[in-house]
Amino acid sequence: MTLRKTIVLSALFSTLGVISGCGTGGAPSAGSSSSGAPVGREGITHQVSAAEAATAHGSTPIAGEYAKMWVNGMGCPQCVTNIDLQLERQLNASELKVDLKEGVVYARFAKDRPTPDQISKATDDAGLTLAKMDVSKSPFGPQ
Amino acid sequence: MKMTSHHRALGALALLLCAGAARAQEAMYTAAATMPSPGVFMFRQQLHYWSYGADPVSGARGLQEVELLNTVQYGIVRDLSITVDVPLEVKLWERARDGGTTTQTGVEEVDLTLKWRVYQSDPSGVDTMRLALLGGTRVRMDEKAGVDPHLGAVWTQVIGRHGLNFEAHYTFNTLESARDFNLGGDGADDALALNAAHVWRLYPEAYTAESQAAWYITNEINTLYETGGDWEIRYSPGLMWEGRRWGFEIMAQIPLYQRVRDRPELDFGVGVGFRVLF
Repeated sequence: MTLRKTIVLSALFSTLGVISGCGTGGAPSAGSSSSGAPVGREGITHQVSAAEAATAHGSTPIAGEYAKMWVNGMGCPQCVTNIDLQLERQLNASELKVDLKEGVVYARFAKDRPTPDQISKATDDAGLTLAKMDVSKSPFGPQ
Repeated sequence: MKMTSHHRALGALALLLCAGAARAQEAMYTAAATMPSPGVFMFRQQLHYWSYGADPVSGARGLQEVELLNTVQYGIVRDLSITVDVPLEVKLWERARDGGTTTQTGVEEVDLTLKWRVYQSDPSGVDTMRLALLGGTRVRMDEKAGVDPHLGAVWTQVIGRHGLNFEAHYTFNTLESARDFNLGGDGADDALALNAAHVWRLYPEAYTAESQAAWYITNEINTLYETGGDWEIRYSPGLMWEGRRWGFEIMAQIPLYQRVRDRPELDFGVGVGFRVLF
């Protein structure tokens, strides 16, 4: 029983140590899309103006076939697989790439041009939140 | 070499491993308010081993259980999923009267659970807060066909590298569904499970643009109270790897506190598991 208590207490103290000392994560990411996260805590806060928020809504098909989507709630690698699957299955998206550091999803809509509302719905269905979006007729820069 | 019950349990475990081949952010014994999106399946298989002491009810001197838990979760619509749990169990116990070992194998029950996410807030790229309600039933797979409805709720919060899950789950047990051995919530008394899990991202410390997977250290406190008066607290440390489609987990269970009269005390438990999203 003594050994068991020792093991358990060691593990609990280790956990507390981890929580108190190592919970700093990485430094907030730099870049136009990510600022405002408290220093010493990971978690990109997408800065979204009213005009940018409007890009996530609308019933007119997007103007370009390449989309860059700033998405909230991508807490883990497996969580974001849902958005891959929804964009692929609902909107025939291809060339999907998720950047967990920036909280950004890149996709190509070569066959059909969806509307922002459709992209927003697919994101919601994936259990995530689309903060804003940008579209282009050519691929976005280095990803 | 004398064949002990431990050897038999290891043999059964090997047999189960040969037989079988997103609950993202979910530790092994605590639910999370995450789920596959509509039309997406998650298959999860967990292999558990538990060693128990003497059973005061049956008189068995010691009992071991190996469970291959097969879970399929399917996203029905946004915020609603269904989970089917089919546990294949092997129980070995040492008889009191002659010291011999008895083995029992099979699927004693199937569990159906609906998970309904009622709250979601995603304040930043990584952080999220979710609340889901759980409701379902456990159906015993023998002639008694007893049914045990259960209700619960789970809160999940991800803050940077930290994931927290808190689950409360109440099972309305019936005499018809009481098992031969009550190993925690399997008797005629109702059972309240209170589980808490801390999932800490060990690596990468910070996500990069190329991050495709992460390692986690998981720590759980699993509490079970039965209305007959029995209750226990278990500590479950573990390690989890999570990729985009695959996940792997390994876990131990150690009793912290046990006050049980109607069932055997837990010595320890271990488990391994994997999951795939498709």
